[in-house]
Amino acid sequence: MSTIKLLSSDNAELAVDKEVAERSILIKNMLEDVGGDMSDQAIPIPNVNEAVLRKVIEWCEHHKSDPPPPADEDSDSRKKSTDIEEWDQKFMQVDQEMLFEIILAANYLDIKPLLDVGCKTVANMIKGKSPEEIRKTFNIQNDFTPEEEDQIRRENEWAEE
Amino acid sequence: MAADGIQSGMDGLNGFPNEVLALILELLDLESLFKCYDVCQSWRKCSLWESNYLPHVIKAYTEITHGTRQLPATLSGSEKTLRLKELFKTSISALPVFAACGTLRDIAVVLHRLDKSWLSGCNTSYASLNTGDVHQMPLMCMAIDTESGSIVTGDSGGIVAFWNVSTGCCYSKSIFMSSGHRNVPRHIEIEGDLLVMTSTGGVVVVLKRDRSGGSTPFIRMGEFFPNIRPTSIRIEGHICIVGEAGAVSFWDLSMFSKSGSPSLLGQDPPFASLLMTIDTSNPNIPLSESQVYSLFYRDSQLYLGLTGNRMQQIISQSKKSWTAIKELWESEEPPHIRLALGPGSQGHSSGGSQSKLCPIGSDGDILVSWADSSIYRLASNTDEELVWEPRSDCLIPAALWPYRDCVGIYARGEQVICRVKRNEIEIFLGNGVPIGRIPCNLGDISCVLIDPAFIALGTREAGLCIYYFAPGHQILALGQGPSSSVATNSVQTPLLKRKHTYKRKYQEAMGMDLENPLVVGTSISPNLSLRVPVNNTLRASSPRLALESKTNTKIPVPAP
Repeated sequence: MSTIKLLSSDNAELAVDKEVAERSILIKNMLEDVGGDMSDQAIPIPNVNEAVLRKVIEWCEHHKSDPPPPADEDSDSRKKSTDIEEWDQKFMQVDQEMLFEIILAANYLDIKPLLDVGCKTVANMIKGKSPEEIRKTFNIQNDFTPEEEDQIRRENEWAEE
Repeated sequence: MAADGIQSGMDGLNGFPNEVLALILELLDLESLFKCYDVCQSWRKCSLWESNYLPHVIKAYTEITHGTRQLPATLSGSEKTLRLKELFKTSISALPVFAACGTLRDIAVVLHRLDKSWLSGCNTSYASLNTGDVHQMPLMCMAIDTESGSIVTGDSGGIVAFWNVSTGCCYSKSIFMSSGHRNVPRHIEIEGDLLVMTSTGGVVVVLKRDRSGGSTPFIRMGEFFPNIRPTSIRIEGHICIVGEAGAVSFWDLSMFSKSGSPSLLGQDPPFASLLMTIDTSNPNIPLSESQVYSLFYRDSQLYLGLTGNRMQQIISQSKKSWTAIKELWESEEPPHIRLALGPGSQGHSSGGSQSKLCPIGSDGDILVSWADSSIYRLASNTDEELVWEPRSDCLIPAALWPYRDCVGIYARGEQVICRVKRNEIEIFLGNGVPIGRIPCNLGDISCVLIDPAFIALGTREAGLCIYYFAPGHQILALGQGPSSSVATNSVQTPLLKRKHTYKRKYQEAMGMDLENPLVVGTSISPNLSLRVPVNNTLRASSPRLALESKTNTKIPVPAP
């Protein structure tokens, strides 16, 4: 099995199985474009640092034998479930900054299933919370004017009727 | 992706590109999306993206129409948005609840409020419409016309009346004649511009919407005669499906929808052509017990509820072979007919009661209420065998005597099931848990129709009442609040007023208790737990009455 090397933004070189790295559509396309052997040269991943890249590789290792995701099906009829399988749940138990970095990396590297898991994790952090709890969770300043606050209160009273 | 194109992002979710934010937001349920609107300015902006709401509105549309009115799969996202906005404004509810909706989000907000209202198990307001002299005879049937925001009612005297659901007023009333005889309507169905009406005489009268602003909203165009007296009717596009005894016939009404103003001189009158008749009779069952009492069509399959404990499913051959799926009436090969029997008595009709059907959810399941009014949810399996696979055992047990007759059932998406009996409407969650009951005080319920925003009932005492499930909508003059005996007693039908006068005189003469009338048949079986909504004013009058009666009796005065 051939291995390739990835170069993180902080210049760390990581050796990965080609098969694992190809979970990333970006890398897969890149390898196809080059056509030849990349074993002697590291592929630069300029947007992702070492810690995040290691996490992403860990995820790809675990999911390397997953069936490929179905071709872009009708997104409307897709069941909007936010269930996450157990291993992924544990994998995503990281601090918020790391979680966001993983999502950004998955988006950049074009690893759709990982991006989905990340988005589901964030969605689950929002679900069922009040606006105040959401602000606390994501450390957001309430920047509404008193008039807007008033309006929110009125609208909610109306909805509670 | 952003409606305004500003790369704003959402605070706290730093640096996510908009396409990632959109992925996150489309995973949220409506409730959470509405909460996001109140978090901060940047979240508010993102929560307004229409793309967030498209899947929710599509889901609600499929649930409300139960997959019987699919959107074309070829539409792009923005075309779907446009189409849905139009559909919700014109063809979902007869109440103008969606009229002011400019965006998908507005539609989602209204849907969410309606959902909450139904799930509370208690209507928001009530109106009794037939307080004047529109109907003097028992109501036989009704239909809904979403385009004009009306309901249409027919009574056993042959009067067909058109009511505006928003105002509760009758704006037109007609009698339709056939060869010199009054047509007494038995069923009415409206689809697009066509109205069909079966009469007790066996004629099917076809009417067309009059857009020229004439005195009647629909004009009589013609009629056709099925072989046997029709027992149910349905329009699919321009095809009229007529349920008869042991047969279903399909009639092409396209001549009526095409032709201009009716009976122009020198023009042949339009006629309905019989496309095909499917024999549904069974050699073991007498024809008189094979009447098709309820039917609906979905996805090239026709479902029939028959007399007694039986239902049938008719599948076209093309559907089975998964080649180009044709409509049932376009297929040349004879269709498959599956028969399913209800529990208990092996299909024999007991006292003329019938099996009723309706679609539930959007995945092709159906809900059936058998002759004893017990309700089951069935899933059709696509195997060769002619069996139905119950999704569960009995979903809702049979009603108690004497109100075992089920007038109609209805499923609102997956979540709410209504069973209408002669005396009341029962509301259940999709899993069969009862959440509410609305008794009807205007006599025996004879017909019912259910809209996403209200339930309308017609009774044998010519009562016509609407139970709104639309927060904020009420007709003050005709009764208000959730159905209360106070409200219903103040607005009665002429027929009931007369009856009540006799009843009161009788009760006075017999010295009966008028304040606490004996109610028969409203007890619910003890093993069902009933969640009574907090704001149920049904019993609101009793504490006051109790207090009043106490003042008359001697209250023990505590010794000083």
